[in-house]
Amino acid sequence: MKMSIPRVVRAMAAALLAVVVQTGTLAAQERTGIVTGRVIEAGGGPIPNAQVSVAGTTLGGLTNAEGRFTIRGVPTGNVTVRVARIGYAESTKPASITAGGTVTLEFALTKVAVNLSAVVTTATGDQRRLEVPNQIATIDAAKAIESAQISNVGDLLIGKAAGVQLLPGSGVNAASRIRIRGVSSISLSNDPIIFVDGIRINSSTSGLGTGGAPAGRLNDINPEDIENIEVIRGPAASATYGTDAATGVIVITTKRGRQGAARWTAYTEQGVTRDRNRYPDAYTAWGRLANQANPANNGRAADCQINTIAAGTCVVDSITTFNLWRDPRATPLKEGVRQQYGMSVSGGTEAVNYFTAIEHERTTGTLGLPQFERDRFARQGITVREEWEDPNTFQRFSLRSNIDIKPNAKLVVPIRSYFLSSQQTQPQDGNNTTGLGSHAFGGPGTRNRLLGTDSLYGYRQFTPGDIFQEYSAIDLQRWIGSVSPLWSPTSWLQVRGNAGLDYSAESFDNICRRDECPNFGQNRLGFKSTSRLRQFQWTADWSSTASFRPLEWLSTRTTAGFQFVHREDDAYNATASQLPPGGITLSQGSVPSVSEGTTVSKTAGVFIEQNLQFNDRVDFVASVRGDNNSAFGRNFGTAYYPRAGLSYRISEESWFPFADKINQMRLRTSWGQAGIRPGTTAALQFFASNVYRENAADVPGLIYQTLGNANLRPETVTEIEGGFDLGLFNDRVTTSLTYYNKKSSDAIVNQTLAPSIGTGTTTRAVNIGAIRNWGWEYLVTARPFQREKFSWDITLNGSQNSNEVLNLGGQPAGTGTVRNAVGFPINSIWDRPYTFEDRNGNGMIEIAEVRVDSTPQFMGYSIPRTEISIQNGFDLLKDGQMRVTFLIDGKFGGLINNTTERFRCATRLNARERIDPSAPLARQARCAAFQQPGVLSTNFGFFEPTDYWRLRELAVTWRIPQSLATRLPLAKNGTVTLSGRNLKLWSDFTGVDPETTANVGNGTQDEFQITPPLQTWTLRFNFGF
Amino acid sequence: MTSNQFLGRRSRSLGAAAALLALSLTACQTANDRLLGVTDPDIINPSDIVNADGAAALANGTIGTFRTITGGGESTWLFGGLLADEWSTSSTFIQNDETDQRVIQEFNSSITGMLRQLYRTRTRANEAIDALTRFSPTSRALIAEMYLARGFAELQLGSDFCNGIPIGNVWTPDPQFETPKSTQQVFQYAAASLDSALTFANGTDAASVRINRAIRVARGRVHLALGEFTQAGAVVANVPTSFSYQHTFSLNTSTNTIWGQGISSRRYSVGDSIEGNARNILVANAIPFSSARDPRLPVVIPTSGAINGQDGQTFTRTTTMWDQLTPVDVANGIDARMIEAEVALRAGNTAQWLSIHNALRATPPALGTVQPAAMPALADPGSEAARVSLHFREKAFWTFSRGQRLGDMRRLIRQYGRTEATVFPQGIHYKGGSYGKDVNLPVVTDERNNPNFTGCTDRNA
Repeated sequence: MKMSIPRVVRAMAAALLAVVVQTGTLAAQERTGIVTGRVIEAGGGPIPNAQVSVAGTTLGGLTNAEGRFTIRGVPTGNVTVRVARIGYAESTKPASITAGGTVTLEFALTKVAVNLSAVVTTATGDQRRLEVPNQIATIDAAKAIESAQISNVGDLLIGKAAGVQLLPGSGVNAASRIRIRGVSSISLSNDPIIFVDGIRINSSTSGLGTGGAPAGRLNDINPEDIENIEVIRGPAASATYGTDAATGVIVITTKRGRQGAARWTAYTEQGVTRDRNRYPDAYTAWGRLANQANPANNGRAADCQINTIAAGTCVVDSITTFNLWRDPRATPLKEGVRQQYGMSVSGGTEAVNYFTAIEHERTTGTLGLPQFERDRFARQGITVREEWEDPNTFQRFSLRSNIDIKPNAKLVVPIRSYFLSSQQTQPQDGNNTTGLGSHAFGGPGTRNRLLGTDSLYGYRQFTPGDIFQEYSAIDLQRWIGSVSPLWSPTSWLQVRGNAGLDYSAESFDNICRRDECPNFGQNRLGFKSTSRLRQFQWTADWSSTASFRPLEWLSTRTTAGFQFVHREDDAYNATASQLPPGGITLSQGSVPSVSEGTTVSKTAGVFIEQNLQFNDRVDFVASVRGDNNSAFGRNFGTAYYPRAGLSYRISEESWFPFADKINQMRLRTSWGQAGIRPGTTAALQFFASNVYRENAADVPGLIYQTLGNANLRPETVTEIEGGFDLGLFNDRVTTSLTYYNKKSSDAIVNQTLAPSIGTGTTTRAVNIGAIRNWGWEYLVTARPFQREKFSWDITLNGSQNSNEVLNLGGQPAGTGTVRNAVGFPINSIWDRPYTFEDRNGNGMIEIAEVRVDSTPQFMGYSIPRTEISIQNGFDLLKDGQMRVTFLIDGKFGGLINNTTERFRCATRLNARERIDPSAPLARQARCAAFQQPGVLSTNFGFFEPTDYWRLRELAVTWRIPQSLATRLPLAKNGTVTLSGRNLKLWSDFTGVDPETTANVGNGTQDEFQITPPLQTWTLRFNFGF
Repeated sequence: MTSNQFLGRRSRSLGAAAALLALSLTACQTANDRLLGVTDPDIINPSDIVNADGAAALANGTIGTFRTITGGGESTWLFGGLLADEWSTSSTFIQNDETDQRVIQEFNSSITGMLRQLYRTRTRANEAIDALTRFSPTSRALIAEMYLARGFAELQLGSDFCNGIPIGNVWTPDPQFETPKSTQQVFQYAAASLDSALTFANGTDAASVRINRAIRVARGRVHLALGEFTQAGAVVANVPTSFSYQHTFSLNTSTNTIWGQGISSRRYSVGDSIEGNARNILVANAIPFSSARDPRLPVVIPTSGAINGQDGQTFTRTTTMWDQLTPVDVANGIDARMIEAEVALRAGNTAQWLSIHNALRATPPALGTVQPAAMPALADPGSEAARVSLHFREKAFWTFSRGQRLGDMRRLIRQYGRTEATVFPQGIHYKGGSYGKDVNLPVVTDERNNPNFTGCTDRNA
């Protein structure tokens, strides 16, 4: 596929080149001085990692562990030096620079609940938050880890940023679903894109095909290594990230070394993982047939159900219940273990800073072999293998080495290297006929049903011993590395380069040895399936920023750059079935098969951005990015993503009337566009291969596969947002409110193709849709009390999101329970409502007593619309020696499909509402409504609100007194943290947990026979040396 | 810094910038093309196949697809059998249950897949015919087989689906939306395809003879569907009873799906006239395929171990007629004899009708893995109605799960004056509710993306 470079792109390249050419001409002509100094906390010690910058230039740096900084090459004249650090109010000081002179400044920063004056990372470089016309969420990862049990990046994000909705995965190391400002696309990914230290990384999921939740590659990033996370929510802010950025950008910055002596840190985390969920009882009504058409059948033993009881054709003798989850011999649940050991060292000189960290983690899940299965295997003389004992495990070894080399005062070369090796095993679960959930949720209300001579102990058909014999594992080796030179040849010019690779090699194994695994299909003849997946993601970008102050009241900042991202996945799959006894390799199987798949995507973009700052309080930014992508149709050229924004710090006006109470007030608005690229081959017309058996030989053939679409272009999302940030009572209270409105008028719709066309694919991607998405976000932070021995800080954030399909280009809305219909939300839930009445007064709802409407009705959103998160922190004892934090969050306004219970009603026949006449009538009715034959059947009653509140995090951190810490060998300081996650749920959901799902893609949330999120308690020791 | 300083510096460097820019952009155009060029080895471009090898590969692809509408995929051979009385559902899938219950929703996703495969067979056959005609015109038997594949797909469409089936004979790489046709019109399409096939299958080589016989059997079935009984008998007259045109399987490609779904996964149970685990639900009109203990259809009812179907609740009834790799007969000599028998019955020649049946029963041909024992001769039941019932019962056993039973039940209504109430299963369904009224599969909701299609024109037989 060939692309052309349009005029605008050439013009951008020219501008970029001009900036660079000037560099050499101007560099030698400056006369400069030095600004040095120290940053401390007001009334306290030094503040490391504070961002110090010279206003109107690109000059700046971070303070070291002693809070000291030095900035060289500062142009002569009067300048303003700024200091910012998360958690402290920004401070500025004037300085008069003379040629060759040194100015020393000391800053004393005041602590605030949350600071709006930090520096944020954007596509065009670091910028002051106050100058960016958007509300960019920042999560201080290092601080979060101190005060909560954090296992992965998802734990860092959940409940921490308004508008960022995270649905945690089910099971150990399971992928989370992240949605920023709801869903925007019908057909394409709604996942945000992820950058780590400037390079784009792979954040896809790795499914083992077990039916359970897939593993998430975002989880590979060790949260211990992260300095902070920034969330750029929508196109109004993310336009300069271009194609793929419409669904938001998450920017992760890892820790780096600071100038100073080596500082060693060691930590260990020891914890338990528990499944404290309420699993449903299974019911069986024992009875006898009566009033049969054939009287000979009367009196025969039978399992009764409400329908047959009500009809008088089954007479109940007794009803029993059994809950295998709680039965000590039958339960597949146990306590899992979480262990983590890590160490890091950081430090540096003027020439080299370093941060190196190493960590090992091992977690076992809450599933294990029940006692009755151990007994069975012992009776049968079968040796239990380790993987049956712990079918859900995860272990990770990671090594990070971040080095900043400073050959001279004008050049910094950050080098980042991260290596990860992880192994994960996962049992068959969820939507899987041979999965644990299918049999644990589906059994009768007794432990005494038999399979052969063995009791099933309440399982439906297969028991955990056989199920866990199917071994599924992922072995991953991953390396992420980058070099990001930053050259500041003059005080007004900065050149950034960035080149990096995210490479991962994954191996997926799925093995059933001969005569093992559930007796389903050909499983017990044995099989092995292996996939080898290599994923490459290259990022290369380069940009130059020129900053000037041409007039006293005007500062300008011009950035032009280029970015190239190349993603390639190569997968090789091999399967061999019918293994000999003891065989576990592909070559030992008698029926081999292989397949191969490749996915390639390339994006090249150029951008230019112009910032203008008026009177140090009004910031205007305008930018445009032009992208070409290998997935665009051949008739489409370049996608342009413009952006403009305005930020006005009105509180800095001399006439601002409430300065005594409102110390900071900023108004902001912005508009921008960003894209979502189509599937890599969606634009192409091509053939695929098939193979069939002709007499004694397998014959290769070709089949017409896709129609393609030569005009296919990216889905372009236009967003306008506006809001304000307030700081009250010297930032004791801060608040922020944002409204946004997004619209795409060329949304890609996978237009269903009429079967009569006869294509291989059933859909065709076409830019015919229109979607609107809008909402509010708010953030309030406060420090109501602040005393020497007690202070309380509280953070409240929340969001409300709506979306609407405006146009589908004539595509029918569909007839399923999940629809995209004009005038309704994306993936909205529809079904036929019903009414019921116990007309015969027998205390039971029979199928005939339910009346189902003939027309499906819109029921609601498939994801929660409203999120609220409240985090409280209490600093206790002198100098906050003890800190207690807890986070409560809630999600509301979405629907979850309680498929587990529906199956228990409809096909497992063990749900109370199907069996027990004393079950609440409303529950009987939804089961009866689903039992209506054919078209009358409705799932209406099983779509339930996801609404819940959850005590997400609770942590107590004790800072070991210096006097005690120093008694430990080598130690200088230390903390001990006891923390818990997923501790308490408040919800009316009738299933197990409204956050359960195996689906982290675009579909609906579905609780279907899967392990819900687990509870974890850990004790963490952290020591500095 | 002041603005004047900045401007002055800019002017001094402008010349150098312009020169570098010109050089860069020339290189940039080429680099851009190279930068964004991708090669995806998974896809095969249309330009790769414009030759004889490409035409042969398209023909192979068509035959591969053809298999999926018979025994190589979950096709209407199984779902038609559910809707009729050959199979009973023992699956967790609502799609299977509602089909067995004869209350099928238009968006039934399983039927959607089956319908797509039928249409794909047609489309791919058309492509292959076009390519073979252009690049390999001497491959006459292969061209004939492509027409057979197309005609057979059309025969199955007309036999199994409702009236209002969009169909056409124009093939282009771009979508062509066709208008709905009645099943009788679809059978006419099948007739045309098979007549075209016969003009190519006129060689004396083994392949041509084999294809010719398969075409004749299929054409005979189309004649029956159209009520052209005399022509039906004539076209199959010379097809030997021992003949079979089969779809074969291998572990590396695809296996026998009737075995996979019906026997291995236990999603289908052999149908019967008494249903329910307690054997207490009578199903009116259903042939007792299981309890008849007919040697042509051996049925296994496990009493211990895995006694339930895939749904975990329905006691399963499986058959040993197929193994994992047992070929399926797409057309065979038994079909030819059944056509001849029906023609004799229609002509009032009871003796010939009985003779054909009894000859088969005396020396039964193998059916799948089963070599049935000789069966006692049938006696004339005495009335026309009883003869018709007996004929179609016999045929049902001879052609079990080969995609003919549903079409025959519809013909009983269309051509023999019976009603849905006297032909299709009736009464209480063992999974709840009662049997509905459907006598065919719907053309599915996805077809509504064809602007000419607004649903089945009627759901009559």
